[in-house]
Amino acid sequence: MFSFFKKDKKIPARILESFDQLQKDDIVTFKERSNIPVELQGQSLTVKKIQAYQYNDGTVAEFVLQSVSNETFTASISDIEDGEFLTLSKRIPDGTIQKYFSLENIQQFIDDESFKHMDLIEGVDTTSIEGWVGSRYMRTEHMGVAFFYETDRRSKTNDVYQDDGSEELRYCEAVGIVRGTGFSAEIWEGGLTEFYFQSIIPLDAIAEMWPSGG
Amino acid sequence: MKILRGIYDALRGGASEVGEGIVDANATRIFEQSIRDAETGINDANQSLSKLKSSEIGLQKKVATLATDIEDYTEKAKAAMAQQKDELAMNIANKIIELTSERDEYAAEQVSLDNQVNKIHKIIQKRKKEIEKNKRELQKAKSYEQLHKTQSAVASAMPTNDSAAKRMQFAMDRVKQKQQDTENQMEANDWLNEATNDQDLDKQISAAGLGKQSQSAKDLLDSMRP
Amino acid sequence: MTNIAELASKLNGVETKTGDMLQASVFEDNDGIKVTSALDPNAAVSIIATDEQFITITPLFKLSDVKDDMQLELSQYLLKLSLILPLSALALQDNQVVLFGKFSVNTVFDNIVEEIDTQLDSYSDVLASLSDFIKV
Repeated sequence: MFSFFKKDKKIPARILESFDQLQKDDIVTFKERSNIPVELQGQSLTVKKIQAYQYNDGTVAEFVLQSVSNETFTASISDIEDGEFLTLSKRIPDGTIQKYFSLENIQQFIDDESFKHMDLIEGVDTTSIEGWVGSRYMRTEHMGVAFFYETDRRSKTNDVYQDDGSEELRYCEAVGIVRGTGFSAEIWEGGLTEFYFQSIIPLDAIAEMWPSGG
Repeated sequence: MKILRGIYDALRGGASEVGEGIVDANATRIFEQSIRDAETGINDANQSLSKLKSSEIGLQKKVATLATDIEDYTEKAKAAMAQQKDELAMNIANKIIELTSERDEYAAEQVSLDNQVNKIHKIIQKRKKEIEKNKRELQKAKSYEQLHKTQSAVASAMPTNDSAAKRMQFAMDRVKQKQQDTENQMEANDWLNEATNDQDLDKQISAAGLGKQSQSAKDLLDSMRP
Repeated sequence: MTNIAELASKLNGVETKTGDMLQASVFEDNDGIKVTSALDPNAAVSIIATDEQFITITPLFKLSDVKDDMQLELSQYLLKLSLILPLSALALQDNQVVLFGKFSVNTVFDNIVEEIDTQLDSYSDVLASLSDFIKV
């Protein structure tokens, strides 16, 4: 039957029900919770980019988040024994790692097979990293192999051939004695090493996710 | 809600009323559609709200940038004064005033927008909860609709026309049989246990040199002696 | 959406843990499945599917089968019984007392068989216990 009131074909609004559905320009707001790093509590961050890491057991999406003060963090979902958590990473600016750990400790962390633990330098000012750090770290991963993609790989299968735009890296990880804290080092071809403080938080620390206009 | 009032009234009323399709299938379908429409509406509202939120964050960023600029200029002003460059210091001070005014304007806008976003967000959240409640109520109504359908299905599914008394008798016989089967099984288990224990006992007796023993050649010869 | 025909086909001929053999067929209007027991020809479980759940129903007896002066006592007895019965519950549909069970459409097949088997078993247990209540 002919209708006088033809509705415009509308694209249905995006619904965000889980963190891994986030797209570029979406917004994530964290709760005011003490188990989140202080600088992120109650804050809203915008998704700037989605990239990926390929490990032995699969590919993980990494979300690059930007705060209102233009600081960048990364976030990815981790499967840990009792459920899914969000691993947030904050890069330690190049050339400043020795503020937090002795260079000897860092060297052992990366090179030494028999590495035990490393301690945060006593008395270091941790105001800007409150909630990100513990006083001691135990290594959990030594020189693991991974491949990094600068692009969103969520709907792609990984190519058999190496020539897929990925970059190989080695990584070392540690957990802090303060629950939920971690530390990682990424060693790239050419020797460039990047260090990160990590905070592992439950997914319910997210207050709201806002889908962008699309 | 009209549908559910109908159901509860019907249940209180008695058997015959319940049988008469008290749940209006059309009403259920209309209610279902209105829930779907409400959900679409909420999702659209959420998307619009996200745009507002994005603007609010844009304002937060402007405020943060201006605050940083003000800090920078303040340091520069102090440095100029320390070097007794008074005119420069004055110019910088004017710049600081300008930036502070701009920052305050943006900050006020941001606070206002933030309040608006939070208000609308609360309304949307409340509406979502209402929709969830309605969905649950709809599920109850649909269950009831289905149960109503089972009435004729069940009636036609009855395999026999035997009276309740006859069926009860058959059931009693069946239960007796089940009990008998259980007892038989228990007896079988007991027998098995005993048999197993007897074997153990025989072994024990034999080991202790008691009971039936196989006759040795010596014993046999001894018995033959006069 | 649940495939009624597929479920009926899977249930037909299944031997349950208690040694019963199930016979299953789809209703004429394709709206449900009838499952009967090899051990008790009087017991029949109907399976109805909605979008989200299965409902299994076994009619037991009509209220009109109950002695007039025993109606109240019967109701109380059935309520107490409902708590004890494994898996199923008792309900009144129109004037029929029924056993029923409900579970998600995503339930594994073995659970469906167990519910049906238990309901068929409870059918005879419940009926057998009603000698004081049923009109002869």
